[in-house]
Amino acid sequence: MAKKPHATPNLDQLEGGPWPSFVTGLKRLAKDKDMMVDLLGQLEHSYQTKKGFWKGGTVSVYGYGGGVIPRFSEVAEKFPESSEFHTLRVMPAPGMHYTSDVLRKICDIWERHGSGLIALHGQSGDIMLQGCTTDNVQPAFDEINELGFDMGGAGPSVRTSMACVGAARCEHSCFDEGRAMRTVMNNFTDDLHRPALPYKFKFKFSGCANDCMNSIQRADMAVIGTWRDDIQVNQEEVKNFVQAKGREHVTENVITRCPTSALKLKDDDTLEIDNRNCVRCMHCINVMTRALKPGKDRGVTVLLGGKRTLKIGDLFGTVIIPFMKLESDEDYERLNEIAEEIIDFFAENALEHERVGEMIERIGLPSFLEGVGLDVDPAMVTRPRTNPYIRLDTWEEEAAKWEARKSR
Amino acid sequence: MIYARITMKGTGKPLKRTPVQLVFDADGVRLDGRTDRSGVAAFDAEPGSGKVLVDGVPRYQGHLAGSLEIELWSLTERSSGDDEGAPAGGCCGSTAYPGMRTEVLKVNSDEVLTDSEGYLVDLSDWSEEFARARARAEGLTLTSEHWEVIRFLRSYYERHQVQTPARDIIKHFRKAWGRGKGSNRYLHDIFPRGGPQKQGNRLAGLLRTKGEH
Repeated sequence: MAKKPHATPNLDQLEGGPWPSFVTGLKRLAKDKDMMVDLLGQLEHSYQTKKGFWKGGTVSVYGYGGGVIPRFSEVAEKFPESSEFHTLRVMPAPGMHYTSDVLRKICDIWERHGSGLIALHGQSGDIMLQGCTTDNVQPAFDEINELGFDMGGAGPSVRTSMACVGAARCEHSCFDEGRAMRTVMNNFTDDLHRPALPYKFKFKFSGCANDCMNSIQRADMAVIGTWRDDIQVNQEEVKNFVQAKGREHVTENVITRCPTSALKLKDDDTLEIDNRNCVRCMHCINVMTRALKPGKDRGVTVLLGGKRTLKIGDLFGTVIIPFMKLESDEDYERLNEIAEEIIDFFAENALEHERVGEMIERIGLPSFLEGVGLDVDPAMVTRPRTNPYIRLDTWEEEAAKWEARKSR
Repeated sequence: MIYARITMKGTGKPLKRTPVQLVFDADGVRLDGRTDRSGVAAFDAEPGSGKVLVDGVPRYQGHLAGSLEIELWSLTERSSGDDEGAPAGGCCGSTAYPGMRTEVLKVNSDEVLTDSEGYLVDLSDWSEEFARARARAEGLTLTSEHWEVIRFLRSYYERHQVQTPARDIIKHFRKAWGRGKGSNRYLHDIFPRGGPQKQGNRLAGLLRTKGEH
């Protein structure tokens, strides 16, 4: 298919640097796809006019409310082949485990029905199949569906979830991320395909506080692995590490970097950890991988409300469940129940186009917790070690209540 | 049975011996009746979506079932504003912009301009025939349930000048149809091309909701 390439001086410049360029990839696809030739033409046109020419719309597959991101070109008379350039969002497998066979098949399907351009994975966590005409959306989705994949979320709905690679390949993993994601997403499939929430709602699952999924920033409900007993220390390996790197290196890179100064390097090259003061930041474990390991009593912390700037600025997630075990079927069931409770409350109480973090900011954390039936906990205090605002007038009663809750 | 009770607003007096007509949306069936001494016209029909015409003037649009209370200010003048199912309009005019890709939909003998996805360019072009023609083009046969949703969307738009949030659609129909049918899933099943908010608004002749979907 030999549509003549448009002249693209601005885009060519992007190929000049030492790094790989997306332009090279697009040009490669343009060798046998006319659609990509015109796409490059329109992109160049945008670079020259400093304007975008894509317009949204509504395209969907049969029976689903969302999942296709429609893009219609407003300069279609100049670049007719790329007048429609829709994106299909497809949910990845938990932990992003694919076989190469499946990846090949996805590529083949997209060569046939679309432009061949695939983003693995987009910011939303989906496999983004980009560049499809309206007529081809349905047949392309049918084939991908046949392969065992389902459409991802778009619009004001539960969105595609992500889990880190987790227990399959990582020694820090504190729970079964893949299973947690599968349990929760299977429960919310309906809310994902049929948008009816005030705005988007994302789940993400990270196995430890390294948070490879950036769930605390990106997810409305972040489930992050943690532990509640002591860090496991192999003193022999600590000694080896100190011998290999030197005391100064260890002091500078591990001991003084502990945010709560909970580490102490003893004279005999062993490590003493004040676990009561440890905030599970993972730094020492990341540096001394052989010597240190997360504790044995593992579980998850659930945070709520992470988001990017919308009505108010960026928010990190707020702890709503400091620790829960995630091992038995009942534990996973409990996670589902909590999520359902939160989504129902969100749907009933949030304003249009408001994320759950903003809703909590607006109504206050105590009212939110009361609404979803969760207990207040000292671990929810923002900046617990530095916050000077403490009310002591009902201290005794509140402490007694807390003790009673803990013993439940 | 469906009963329509017609009274005059203000005096509260029943309107006697007045012709009342029920027009069903789905099949276009018209039933004629006449009010009795207490202002009630009775019709032997299954519940459905449609209109009530009193003396030839449409006075009510929406779900026809049980007892309908219809109050009139005047026999001849059409009351405006807050009626259930009153047609959207007023603030319209063409929403076309230069270079917009449009399509023409044949509605009976007229030609109606829509955008490339089938949304009306001029909201005042809506008619029941448009909804039928648009639904045919999308491979959908409009049943009484579809019409109820369309009427609801239009009356909400008339009252609030904004499209109905998805949650409010579900809430309304959960009350009207009960838990089984009044659910997100069922509403998406009957509007398979994008759900009640997209396909629904399209057929109801309203603007698309904004956002990425």
